[in-house]
Amino acid sequence: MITIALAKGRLATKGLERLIQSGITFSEYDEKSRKLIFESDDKQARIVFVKAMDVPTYVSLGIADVGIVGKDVLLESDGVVNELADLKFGACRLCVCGLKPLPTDRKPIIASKYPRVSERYFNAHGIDVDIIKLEGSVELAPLLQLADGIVDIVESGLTLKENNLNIYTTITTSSARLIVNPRSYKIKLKALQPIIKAIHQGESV
Amino acid sequence: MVLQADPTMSLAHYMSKQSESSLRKFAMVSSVHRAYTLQSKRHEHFKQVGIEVFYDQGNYDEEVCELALKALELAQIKDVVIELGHVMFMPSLLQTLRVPSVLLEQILPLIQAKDMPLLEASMIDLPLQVQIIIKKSMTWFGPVEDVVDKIKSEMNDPSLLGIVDELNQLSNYLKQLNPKINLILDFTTQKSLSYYQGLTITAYSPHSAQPLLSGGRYEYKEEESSPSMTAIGFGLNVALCAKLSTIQPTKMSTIAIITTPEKKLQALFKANEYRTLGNRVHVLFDEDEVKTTDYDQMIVIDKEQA
Repeated sequence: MITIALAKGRLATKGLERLIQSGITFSEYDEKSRKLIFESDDKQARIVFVKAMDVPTYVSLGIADVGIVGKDVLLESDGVVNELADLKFGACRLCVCGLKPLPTDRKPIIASKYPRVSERYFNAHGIDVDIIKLEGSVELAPLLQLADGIVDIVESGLTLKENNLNIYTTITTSSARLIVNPRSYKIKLKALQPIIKAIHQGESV
Repeated sequence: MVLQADPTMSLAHYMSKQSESSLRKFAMVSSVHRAYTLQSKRHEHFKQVGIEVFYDQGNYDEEVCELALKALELAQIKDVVIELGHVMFMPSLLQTLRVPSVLLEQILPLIQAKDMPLLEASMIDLPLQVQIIIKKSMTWFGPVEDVVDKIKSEMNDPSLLGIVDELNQLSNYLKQLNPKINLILDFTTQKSLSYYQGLTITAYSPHSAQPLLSGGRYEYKEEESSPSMTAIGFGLNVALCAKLSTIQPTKMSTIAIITTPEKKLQALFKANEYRTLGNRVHVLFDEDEVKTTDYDQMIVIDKEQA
């Protein structure tokens, strides 16, 4: 059986849609259910719902064979996975934002859910910063003066606008990626192919 | 911090100091500290058993792979998949396709990571036909016949087909030894250990994310100017194999052998006999206080028996 790791939300909905369109159906699945594991009707696959940040971990450790995850999460993760395709949905940007530009007369403080991406970015630009890791509502950090700026994902920019925050730099763009465990990719290739094709809309990778 | 390095390099260093190069075969049991293959920036520490063969003539691929198979058979692990690869295939393919060397250096790690979006982005300036072949080559792994046919239908370069034939012949040899073997070929292999230069062998189990066994052929050079040595070997992760082995551990009995100082030697021999059968044995003298409930069996060797 092939295990597919998904993070509840838009990426999972879209991924599930594609599986169902290809005939891999999950009639037991109910969006409102608190169940975390659902088997496909043909018992050939199962989906497991995990936190977005944990998708690469489950896949890299072989607990899940396949996963759908944002590139932003992959960049932050240290899991070793094969990134088979850009699924071209869930597009967003990873940006440096704040109420005003970062101070130059002292070490700026950055709050982020993405400390590794932030560190890599500021190191690459020779900017010495202190990074505070937050788990959510990162926009609050500059408003409450916890940080001078934030590194966070921006989709429509509406949340930033409503909190009077500005985008100063785009670090990278992100979209949903199809990832696979390297060992599973080799030894379960036949069983994986229909799932990869389904998620990648007919394209085998 | 002291790290226990892979013994392969120490052996190669030792061999390079020998005045006469000749065939040398080593068996090793070692404790290894190595980059964790599942998560970057982490290290793991494990016990491995393995072999290394250093040689300046001939070919020891078959012998070493056969030993690797035998080791796995003895460990009685279910559903093992053996993967043969060749780290020179992809660089040769890219050279054949006239990929500029700067780009080749960028592309090889992406092939190793099978990072398709970045690979596609890196190839954007290459001719479309070259891009298509490189993209196709990312699927050149799987059951032997399938992958060999796929490559032969796409490529006719003799050096590439030479590598394909080399792995195909080795697979045939291994299949003759064990027709039930689950064998795959992977021409996209890029080993994380840079010293590998040719054939690689890896054994996987669907029940573990870590490989059970890993090895390959490599060239070692003490210095840039020194002659290179060829070697082939493998290491088998002992704890992982023990965990996945279907061999049931035999129940160990605790036996007390009670004797007199005069019969001590006889008792020790007897103790050794029982130990080799997998028992825990205590040799006690008759004046010692013996708690009978601590033992499954008690044997008395005294003057009368003698």
